[in-house]
Order: sequence, then structure tokens, then C-alpha cells
Amino acid sequence: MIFKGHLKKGFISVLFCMLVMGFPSPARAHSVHVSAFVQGDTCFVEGYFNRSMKAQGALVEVFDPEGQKLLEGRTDDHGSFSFKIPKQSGLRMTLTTSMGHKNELTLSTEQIRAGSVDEKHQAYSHGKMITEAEPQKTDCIHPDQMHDLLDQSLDEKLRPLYAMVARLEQKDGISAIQVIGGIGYIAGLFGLALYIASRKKQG
Amino acid sequence: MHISEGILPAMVLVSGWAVTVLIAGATLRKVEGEDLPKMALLTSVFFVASLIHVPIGPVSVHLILNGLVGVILGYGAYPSILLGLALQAILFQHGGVAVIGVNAVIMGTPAVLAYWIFGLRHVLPVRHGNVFFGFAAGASATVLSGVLLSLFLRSAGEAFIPVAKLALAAHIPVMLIEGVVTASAVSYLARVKPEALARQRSPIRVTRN
Repeated sequence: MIFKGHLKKGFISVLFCMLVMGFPSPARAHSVHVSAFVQGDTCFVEGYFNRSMKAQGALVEVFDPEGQKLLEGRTDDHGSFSFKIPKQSGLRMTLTTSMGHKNELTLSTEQIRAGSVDEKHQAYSHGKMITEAEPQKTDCIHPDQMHDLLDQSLDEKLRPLYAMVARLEQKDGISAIQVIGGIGYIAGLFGLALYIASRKKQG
Repeated sequence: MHISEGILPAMVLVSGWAVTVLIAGATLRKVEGEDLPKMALLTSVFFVASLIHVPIGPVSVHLILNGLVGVILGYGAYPSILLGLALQAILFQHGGVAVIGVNAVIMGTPAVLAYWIFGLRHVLPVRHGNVFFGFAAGASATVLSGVLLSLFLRSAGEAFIPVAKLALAAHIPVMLIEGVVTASAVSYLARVKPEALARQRSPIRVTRN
């Protein structure tokens, strides 16, 4: 039929337009997601496919801003992996699961600093860990110890909350609007193709 | 069955696109204007199917329905799946734009295979041919997708056999579901609206009276 050539051209140009429109958007990878947060000197990474499915045994690789690999490890049964932050620079993490799923996440220096305790305090707690501190003879607790104790228990209590916030920051969920929008695109594109086809048929 | 960005080497991505453009061009020639509404419907089905997750162990598995698309659209399934994948990449970040070519090969060629398998019902006299070949078409499309996925991942340095085993094992439930969905959809259509099924224009067509 005469209109077939035009149909093909129309299809290809529409597809091309879509790709050009699609390129500027950050093309993040498939439906495996990675979230991370910093507590003290430890970074907690979590990989998941959706709310209920964690990425177990996924390879986590950590790079510095220059692209040099700092360390790697695998997520546990809960999809989590944690590591001591080797240096206070930005970190880029990639998470790779089997069967070709991959995603990455970058933590800026500020995000890492915000999560860690200030350096003066860190120096104190390194020098004298609370758990190793000898029992004091007096009843009162040193304010610094108090601070540390609070820090420790708050960190543990708040960890699930931190993880949740880190996940929310990723905004990875697919909303109904995206689905309806996609179907709208399909209807519109094929409508256009039909229109072109019918015009060629008539003319 | 989508491969993410950043896994495959650039050469493979480029060849994936090249192969996809060739196949899409060739298959588009077979598309008639009157098939377009049907293609739109099935593209939507394919587009949404990837959101239906089947929870199995540590891997993310979802319906593909490329067999169903192939059986109903015939050669038109390839451009249809290509468009569906492009939209999934842009709107859902499934796969990624650079990998669309490879992913189209992984999911589109099995759709064409499903169409051929379904065409065998005219050749082989089997009782309940529509159900039998519908199931075979839906299930084998999933299997071929798994094999192609493993072959592509091989180029990324992953060993073929373990990945293929994992991909196939994880997709056994999907394979069964897809087989059943395709078989029931096809046998229903054959009874109610037989002209909705892809016409068999391949040389294997024989008249059955």
C-alpha cells in the first residue's frame, strides 16, 4: 500500500522525537533502587526492588569522586550493607544485582558530614569509648559521656527512620499518573499514525 | 528482563540498536493501517505488564506478555514492543534509553517467534490447537527472552550458564503464567473474534478444512 512508507517514516520520527525528549531526563537504571544514609562514621546502604522486596546478595561498590574504587561488598538477606567511611569526601555507590539490574547513588561531602558527629566529639569518643569506660565511682555522669550515650541510643532508635527517609528521597515509585500518561502517549501516537495512514489512503 | 544502563559495553549497545532498527524497519513493512488500533491496545498491555511483579526469591520478576503481543500482532509486535520499551525507559526508568535497542531484541524477537509457533496450529493437527499452541507460544517467548538476556549479559563478562540458569529458574512461574494468559486470551479470541488474531502470512500457512 502507498501509505506504508509514510507510516514507517512517521513511526521512526515519532520515536526519534521521544528519544530526544527522553535524553535530558536523568536516565536512571532499572527497577532496582539504592538508598543510603550516614550515621557517625558508618554509611548504611540498602538495595531494594520495591517496598517489600530487598535486593539480597547484590554487589555494592563504593568509589570516591575521582572514580577510584574504595571498597566493595555484598548486601545481606535484608538488602543492607554498611561500611566505615574511609574518607570524608563525596562517595559514589553502585549496586549491581544478577540478571542485569544496576543503579547508583552519590552522597555529597555535606551529606556525609551532616550525618557524622563533629570532629572534636569524635576525637573524644575515639579516645575513650563509652563501652570501655571504667565504671565511675561517683553517681553523676560526665556530660560528654551522657552525650555519647544519647547519641548511641538515638542512632539505634532512629536507624529505621533514617532508612525510610533515605528511601523516600529516591522518589522511585511509579505513580498512577506515569502509567496513565504512558497509555495516553500510546493512544496519541497511534492515533497520529492512523490519521496519517487514513489521509494517505484517501489522497 | 530489562538490562540496566552501565552494564553492557558500548559496542553491544550500538549493535543492539542496529539490530533493532533493522528488525523494526523490516517488521513495520508488514503492518497494515487497519492493524494500528490493535497495535495501540497491545502496546498499552505490554507497557503496563511490567508493573505486575511476581515475587520470587531475591530477583525482580514481572510479567512480559511478549508472547501474547506476538500472537495477536504478528510481525507488528516488534515495533509495538519497541515503543512500549521506550515509554517504560522514559517514564519508569526501566532499563534506560541507551539499552532500549538491546532490550527490544531481548523481548521483541521472542514475540515474533511466538507468532511463528502459534502459526504451527495450521500445520500440526493437535486437539485444542489454539490452547496448546497459545500456551507454547506464551511460554517459549519467556524462555527465549531469558536465553537472550543471558547471552547479552555474557558480553558484560558474566558467565553464561549460571546466569541463564538463574534467569530461567526465576522465570518458570512467569513462563507458566504467560502461557496460561496467552492460551486463554487466544482461545477466547479464536471463538469470539478470530480476525483479531494475527493473520498467518508466512509460507507455513496451509489450508485446513
